[in-house]
Amino acid sequence: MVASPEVSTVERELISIVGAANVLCPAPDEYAIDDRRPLAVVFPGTIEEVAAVLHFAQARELAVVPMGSGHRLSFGNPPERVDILLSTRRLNRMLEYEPADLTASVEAGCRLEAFNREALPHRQWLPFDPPDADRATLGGIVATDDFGPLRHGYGRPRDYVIGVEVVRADGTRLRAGGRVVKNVTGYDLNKLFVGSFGTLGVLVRVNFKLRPYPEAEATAVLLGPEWERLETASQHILRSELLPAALLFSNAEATSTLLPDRPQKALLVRFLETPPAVAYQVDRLRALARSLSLDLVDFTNDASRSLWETVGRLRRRLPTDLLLRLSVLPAHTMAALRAGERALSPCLTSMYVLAQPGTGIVHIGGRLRAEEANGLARVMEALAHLRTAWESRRGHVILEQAPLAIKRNFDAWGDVGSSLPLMRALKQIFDPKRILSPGRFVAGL
Amino acid sequence: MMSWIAELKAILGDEDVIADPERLLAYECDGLSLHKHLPSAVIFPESAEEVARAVKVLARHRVPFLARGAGTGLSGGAVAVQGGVIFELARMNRILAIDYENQLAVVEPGVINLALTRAVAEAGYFYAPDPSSQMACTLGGNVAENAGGPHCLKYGMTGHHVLGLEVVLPDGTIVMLGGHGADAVGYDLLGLFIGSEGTFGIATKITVRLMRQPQAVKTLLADFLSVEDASRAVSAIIAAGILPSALEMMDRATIEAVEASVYAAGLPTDAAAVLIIEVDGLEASVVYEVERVVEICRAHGARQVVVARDEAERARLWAGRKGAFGALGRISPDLMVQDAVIPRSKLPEVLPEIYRIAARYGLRMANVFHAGDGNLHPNICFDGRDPEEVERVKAACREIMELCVRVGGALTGEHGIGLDKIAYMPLVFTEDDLEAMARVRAVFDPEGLCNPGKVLPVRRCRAF
Repeated sequence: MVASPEVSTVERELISIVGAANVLCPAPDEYAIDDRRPLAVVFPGTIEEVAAVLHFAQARELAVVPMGSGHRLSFGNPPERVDILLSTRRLNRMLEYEPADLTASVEAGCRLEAFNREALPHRQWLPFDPPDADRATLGGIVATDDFGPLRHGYGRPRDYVIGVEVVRADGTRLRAGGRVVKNVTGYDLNKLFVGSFGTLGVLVRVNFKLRPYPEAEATAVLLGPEWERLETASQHILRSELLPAALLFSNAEATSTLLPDRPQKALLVRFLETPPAVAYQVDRLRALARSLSLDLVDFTNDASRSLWETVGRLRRRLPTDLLLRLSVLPAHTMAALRAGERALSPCLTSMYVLAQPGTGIVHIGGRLRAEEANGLARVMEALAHLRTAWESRRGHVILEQAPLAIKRNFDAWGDVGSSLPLMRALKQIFDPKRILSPGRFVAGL
Repeated sequence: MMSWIAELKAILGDEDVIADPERLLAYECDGLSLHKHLPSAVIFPESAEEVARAVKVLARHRVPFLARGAGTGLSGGAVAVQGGVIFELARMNRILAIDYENQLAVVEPGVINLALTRAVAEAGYFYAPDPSSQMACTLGGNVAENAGGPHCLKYGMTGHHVLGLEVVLPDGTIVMLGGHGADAVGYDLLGLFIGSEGTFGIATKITVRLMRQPQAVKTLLADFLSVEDASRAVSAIIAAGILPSALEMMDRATIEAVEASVYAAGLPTDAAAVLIIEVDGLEASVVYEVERVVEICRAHGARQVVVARDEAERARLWAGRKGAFGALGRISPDLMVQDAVIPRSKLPEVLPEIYRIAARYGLRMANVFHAGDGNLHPNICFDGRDPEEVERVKAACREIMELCVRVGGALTGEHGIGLDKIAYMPLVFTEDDLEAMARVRAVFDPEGLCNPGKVLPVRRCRAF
């Protein structure tokens, strides 16, 4: 056992590394993760400073939680310990951007929105739209492999990372990958750090490949009173030659935020293409809507973009205590959506549902009716039921956000499968003293 | 105690374990003839269970082993550099499931790349990664190397299309990596395994993504009177925000070899370089983008830009492109198919330098490569029986590697490090980086028995 660290020594040491202006000690309340308040929040301004903080932390066995914008810190299990919250806010430079190569290298704290603002004049972008994309840092997006509806047409952040630099738990630096778009030089250690939720190292620099920014966009919203015909429409689209960038079911609660006068179930279809291909696809969708007697509303360019920005902010627009992700086989999307609705509607008010039939991702969120008698017990039962049902069908039930009372009794990730011993061994190699976000990831890693 | 050979025979049957040196000769090298080593034995397992049982025997006897698909690799990755046993997986060649609803297929590792696309073509689907050797190479080999191909430019490498693996670890246990169609939770071991060049274990089942065939495809041939012009056209197409599905360059030496072979595609033999450019997607987009590509090529000095009129013409162009290595292989006893990557904007600067390096060493060079993503294949024609020439080939390769790394590139884009490029690894990675890779490898293979002597400098691998 390590004796509880002397706050004043920690503060002194951190100040000697990053300067007094870049340490908050004691940490203000808003930096608490679940019920854990860190001893200090530190804002290093260089990679060397990150390394020095980790070197110190490991020597003292202080737990370090890396943080980007901080809006996804409650994603995962409650950390066992948080001594130092390491913010990448000051590590926010764009280091290299070569439009002719469609590649860029940024510090982890660089914000997605700021990056795309630089890239758009070159008609390029990083096609990511995770929740709260307007706040998210690229380091945070990569550490959580966070995604939104664009995953359907563009894939996940994982697919765009071509190199990383990481500071390891002992303060040494590790580089993986490189700056070219195609590279099999040595083992692909990038993959270890993407989506590892800050448990193997602190991402300080990420190299990306970019995509051309499409010349035109439009969104067709198909509306209907029940899921059946919307599902038929989505199946039709998935089996056709159409190339939507996003395909998203939204329940009436979610739709009412997007289209206040149309609180109905909807299928949102986003096209990002050349102008003639966008026009062609919207026409095809109109014909499809007619044949299925569904209403269609369409939005082009700015109106389309702003519709999807609202989708990304739903968690802020609608009261959210609980946010669940079901990930299932694509063909099971509607079944999972219905099962989730059924299981959780007794537990949630203003329950919103978003689901991607092309990738098998279902999000369900809302405010808990915890004030009711046995409210919490009922939620726990519903979650356990969903997990059992879907893990047996290759799916997962993941808590993206939940009150501590739930997270204490319900693992945020669920069953990892037969590869868990390998994951444990990797954690042991990169973080033998378990100082990096301990307990947050799968199986308490 | 039984010998390990006897134990393997007890598991697989006498005829599926070969140790006769004459027959082992066929396994002494892969597609890169520079590295030759005889294995002690070759076995032909037919199921994951047989693979696992054989691996357990070898682990117990501390005999090194490695998996081999079609042996078309180009980095010496499937060579038994320390002796030991080769698992020839050609018989594990069944397509186990095709699931159009989830757009995936489950295959055994010995399934040939093109066979999968053929199996799903009728239904309107395809498997995207298409290495030039796709008529022969296996999907298991593709997974080991994270194989690419011309269409990676738009569709990504093998790693972007594999959804799950069943793997026999080097101690004989079987694990599942990835979610096989749904997301997995935990570290991305699937992504880590793909491209580990057979050093983390043996994949015995592979779940891959199937893609819907595009509504339209157009293939263009643009010919140039200088390699520099062609390179600038490539950069301009990328910079214009067009993402062709393929953007390939062949230089004059390659064109001449192709036109003199069975792969003759009607390429202009007086051109300094040609570009094969393919655009696919929705008909409306393809028409629109083809116009712009033609314009850009003309603006950069293309003498002629021809659009393939039909599927037959298209197929002929691709046969010429994909047959280029075979055609080059005919004109000299040995062919060194090099592989390196540079930032694509550096093409006009690097390509002439590569020709100068070849000239300085008095070597015959032909370039045929994936220009769109900066993935070079400088090919050197030589005679392996001439030790002095072999030395010149090696020296030129080192200079090419150093050049590519200097401009911000990488040692290999799709062929892997294997045996051939281990010595260059310190050009790209620090001691600490290599140490981290060695420790990750030891997580999968603590005893150092699985395809030893590959990828990392030898002194980092455990001795046995």
